[in-house]
Parts: sequence; structure tokens; C-alpha cells
Amino acid sequence: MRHIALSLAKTAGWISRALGRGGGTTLPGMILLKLRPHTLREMAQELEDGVIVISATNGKTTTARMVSHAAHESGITFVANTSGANLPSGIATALLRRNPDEKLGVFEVDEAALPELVPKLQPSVLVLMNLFRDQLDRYGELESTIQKWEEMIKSLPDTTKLIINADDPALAFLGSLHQNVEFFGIELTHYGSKTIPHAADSLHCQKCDGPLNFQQVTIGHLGHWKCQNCESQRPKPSFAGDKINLQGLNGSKFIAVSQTGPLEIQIPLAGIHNVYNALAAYATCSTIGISATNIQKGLSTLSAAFGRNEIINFEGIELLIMLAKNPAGANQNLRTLLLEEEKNHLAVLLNDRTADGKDVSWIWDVDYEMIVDRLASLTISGDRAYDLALRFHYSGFPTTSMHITPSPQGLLEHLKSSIKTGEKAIILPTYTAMLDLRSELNKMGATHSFWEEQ
Amino acid sequence: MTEIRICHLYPKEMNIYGDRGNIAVLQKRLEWRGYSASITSVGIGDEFNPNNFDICYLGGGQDRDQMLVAHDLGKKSAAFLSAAKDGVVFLWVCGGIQLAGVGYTNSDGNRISGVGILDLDTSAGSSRLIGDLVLDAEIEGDNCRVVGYENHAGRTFLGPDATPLGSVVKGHGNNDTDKTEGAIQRRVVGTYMHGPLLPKNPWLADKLLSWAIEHNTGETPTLSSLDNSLENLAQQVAISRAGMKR
Ligand SMILES: [Zn+2]
Repeated sequence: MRHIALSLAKTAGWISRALGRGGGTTLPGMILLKLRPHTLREMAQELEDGVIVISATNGKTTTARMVSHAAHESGITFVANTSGANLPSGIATALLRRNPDEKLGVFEVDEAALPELVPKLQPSVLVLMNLFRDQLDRYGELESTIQKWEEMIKSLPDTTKLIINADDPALAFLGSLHQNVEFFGIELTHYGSKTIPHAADSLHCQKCDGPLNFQQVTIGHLGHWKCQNCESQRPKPSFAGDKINLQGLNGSKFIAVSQTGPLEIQIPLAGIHNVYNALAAYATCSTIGISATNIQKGLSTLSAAFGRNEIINFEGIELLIMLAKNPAGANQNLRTLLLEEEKNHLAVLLNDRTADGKDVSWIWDVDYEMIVDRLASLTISGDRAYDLALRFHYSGFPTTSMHITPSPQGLLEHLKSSIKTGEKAIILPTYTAMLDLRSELNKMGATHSFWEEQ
Repeated sequence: MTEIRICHLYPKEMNIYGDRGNIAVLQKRLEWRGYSASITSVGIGDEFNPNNFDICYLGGGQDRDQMLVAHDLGKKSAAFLSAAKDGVVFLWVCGGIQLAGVGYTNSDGNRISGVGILDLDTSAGSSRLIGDLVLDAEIEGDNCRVVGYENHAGRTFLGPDATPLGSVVKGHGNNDTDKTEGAIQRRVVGTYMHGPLLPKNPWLADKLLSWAIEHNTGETPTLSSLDNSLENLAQQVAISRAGMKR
């Protein structure tokens, strides 16, 4: 029965790819899980060198890619889920396609699906990076995700190594519930701020409900925190990011400090959020024994993950695509734009389909105000373009200067006609808006299908 | 210049659905009409003086934060009741409408007291009511279609002193059974349309602003009209998406 199920599921992937629908990154797994729900656990157990699971609201795709890249650099063969197929079906599909010589698994997992997947995947390393508000209609409230993660951690075997962001107060608390844990975090840096941004979550102590004080805030509620009421405070990280140097849209440099001494890390990805991603990847790679040189090399030669700082050439215009699907991520992308001296052409795309979250309220938690006077042009697109236009209207951007075009085709035509060859445009889409844009770019021959990526 | 005084209640705790969008709309639509607007945050442990404000906003929060806020509100309920009697305008949304009522019975059967500025009572349901919400709203005999988004477990039923804000055309509303949505009593408005409901509903925003100006100056103002074309387009799209989406 198992063999029949496996081959049926594999055939489905082949058919769906041949038909060009969805790239077959989830369908085979979906069929397999329907036919034989226990298969996931069985297939994961075949991975002799263990399973790395990475979860977060923001940065899990990029971090998994970083870990994969460094593993590749050191000659480790592994199976990974690509292209953000991070629900059980996507992971089952990846495992179905595994070559027998791939003995390590590297999986990014959706934060809501994590409690269900961890007992099945039995990870040897579990990396938890951050929890921000995201898609409230789908995930419910942040606090309920934290509670589910807490139950999950309480039932972890001691053999699972937890790697946790010390700068996220809620996650650091979860880390304190497990024996086998390493923390990572960012040391004091001039990129940090003293004040909590508007849309911050987790401002109360998980242990005693007391208010938290911050000596430094890097992103949202991440930073150097301490409870005003009890002894809880940011644990000292065993993998620390120090001397951070953000080099505009080109990338970033920092020193990773650990037991083994300082290591200079250069990444071609912009913004402090990618420093967190790199630190998490560094901690993970060190834990599984990848050498410092291979980590350095793997991280520095990285190409962007699908839609994350990805550059696409379109009719001589350089499109820099940065997925912006929740307030913390979008704010981080906007802050990255501020690292550039010159004014930018910006296009923002808002969809409200299932994968984006049907509730578009979150755009009011994004601090678009910080960039309104730093734009050479503003184009607004997507199913909910007018909601976004209103958001910019209330941020002080003149309505007469914005170009509103809901369709991706209209967007590309407008960019082509209004931006000079050789110039750059920054694109901030939600997930399905990015897929639509990619498909439109595909039609015009500007890019390749994403399932071809590895 | 007349200064309209806006009170933003518990902005740190009760802000999960982009609630500051509503504050921005109140402020800008006043400023565009030549009024000035002051915004004062009142948080946990702060004093609430009912004489200091023309309009008070309270948004939605996570359960944990809502509990902290409910506890603090209890200490201020006399001041809120006095403000409501005095004609201060309230817009309390999402968790706010529950806290404005008589009380909330959660899923464990525990009871939390509300402020009592709206005659309504809430108890937790077994499922969350999530999705687009379209209603035919009525305020003082004036009608308008209003659109928003709801995400709540509470089932709210109105008592005789409160009137619904509108009747549900699409979505769940107060309790998913009687087709009512929101509540009005004096100039206290409660609704489950969470977060930024005012940007897309300028009619409602201007109703609240007229009341707030009247509270401040003692006279009913004639609000100058603003260009609402973007607002109306956003509203139309939201209404059609509400009908289309699964
Ligand atoms: Zn504490």
C-alpha cells in the first residue's frame, strides 16, 4: 500500500508540473498525506543525520536557504523544502522527492503548522526566530500561537537542540522551559533604537505579566529587554552578532561571536533582519558541525530567496523585490530603503487572498510615514490597491502624485513607461501579489518559474 | 482655532488591528477642515478625566492584554459613565465593544465586568466569527452602507437602552443570530468592525466628528465636504470582495 501511495503521489507532482499548475511543490504531498497520514513520520525517520526545522513569522525562508547553502558548501547532501512550501503538504512533497543519499533534512515550517509538524518530524535542531503579528484572520492571535508553541516545547525530548532568539522576549521565555537550548541575539548597535515602535507585540513579561523595559530595540519588540517586575531578562546569547555594518541595499557585515571566537560574516542581503537570519543560520550550522570557513563562504555567496531581496531585470529596469506581508517585515523593508542616499522608485502591492490574509488592517501598522519624502515615484497595485492608496493618503503622501493600477500588467506597463533604463525600482508585494507579478514577468520573459529554483 | 480633544485609550495594549488608522482619520479630517486636534494617550495606571476630552477611542487587543485593560478600566468606570452622560463621543471597537458593555463571560465561565456605557452583554462562543462585515448603518435617522472586518469569539446581545449601529448585510455581527451589528447609546458607539474602519467609512467618521465638535463648542457644526473619491473606491472594492471571497 505504501508503495502505491508513494508512486501515485509522485505521479501527481509530475502531472501538475507538466500542466504548469503550481509547480507541483505541494500537490504530491497533499495526496500522500490523504492516502497515508503516518508517512511523514516514517519518511522523516529515514533521515539519519537528523532534521533541522526553522520557524518564525519573518525570515524562515531566508534562514533555511542560508543553512542549505552552507551545508552545500561543506559537501553535505540534504533534502529541503523550497519556495516557501512550508505546510505539511510541502514538506511531504520534499521528502517524497528525496534521494536516498540525502541524510539531513532542512525544513522551514509555517508557525501555525509547527506544533503539528514537530512531533512528526522529530527535529534534532529546532530554530525559533521571532513571532510577530501576521495574518490575524488565519493564525488568530499571537498569544495563542505562543501558547501552542509552549505546549510543543514542553513535550520536546531533551535530545532536540533548541536555537532561540534571545531578543524576542516571548521566545526567550519558551527557551527557558527546555534543557538543551542555545540563544542567539544582536549586541548593542547604533542601528538600534531606545523606543518601541507603534506596532510592537509582546510588551509584557511572559512570566509575570509585568511591563518590559528595553535598553535597545532592533525590530518590533526584538531587543535588549528586562522585566520591570521580576528577574526575567534577555538571556546572554551564546551566538552574538556584534559590530554590525549595514551597507545599504548591497548587503551587511557583522562579527559573529561564539565560544569558538569571533568570525566575520558578510551577507549580500540588506537590513538588520537579515543579520538576525544570518546569526540564526550561523548558530544552526555551528551546532551541526559545519566549519567556520564553510559558513562564511556559504553565507557570502548566497543568492536571494524567492522574492526576498531578489533582483529581476525587466526591460532594462532593475526590480528589487522584497516580500512585505506583515507590519514587522514591511517596516524592516522600509527601513532598509532609508539606508540608501538617493530617492527610490517604489511600488507597493496589496492582495487579500487566503495566503496573504484576508484582513488588510495590518497596513495601518506599517510606518509608511518614514519614507513619504524619500520617494522618486509611488505606484500602488493589487486587489486592494485603494485601501493602500488611502493609507498613503493619510500618511501625508499627495494623492495626485501616486499612480494607482490594481493589475500587475498595468503596474509593469507603468513602470516601463515612467522609469528610465538603468534605474532601480523597489517592489513591496504581499505573497500572492508577488506570484501574480512573477507570472506577469514570466509572460514577458523577464524571469523563470519559481519551482525551477533550488 | 477650535481644538478637538481626542483620547486614545490603551494604545499600547489595544492596537492589534491597525487601530491607529482610526485616530489618523479623526485627526486629519479635523485638520483638513480647519480644526486642530490633540491626541492624548491614556494607559494602564493613568488617570482619565472626563472633562478633558471630546472623543474617546478604544481598539482591539489580545486576550491577555484585554484582561489587563479590563482590570484597569474597572477603576475608571465612574469617570467613563460620567463622560458618556455628558455627551462625550466614544468609539470602542472589537474588544472595546465588549468592555463597554455590562460584562463578558469567557469560555471558562469566568465573568469580567465591563464599564457599562453600553447596555449589552457578551459571552464567549465556541467558534470565532471572522471575515468581511457589511452593514446598513443608521445613526439618528441617517442611513449609509458601512464596511469592515470582524474577528471575535464573543457573542453580544443588546439590552433595551442600546440601539444597533446597523443591520448585517454580509458577515456575522454582534452574535451571528439576530443580524444586528454594533451598538449606540447616547453618543457611545461600539462595533465589531475592528481596526481601521474609519478610513473606508467617511460617513461614520464625520458623524463622530460632528458630535465631538458639538461637545466641544456646544453648537452643531456644518462640516465642509471633503473629496471622498478614494474612500468610496476602497469601500466599493471591499464590498465586492466581501461578496466574492470564499
Ligand atoms: Zn516578569
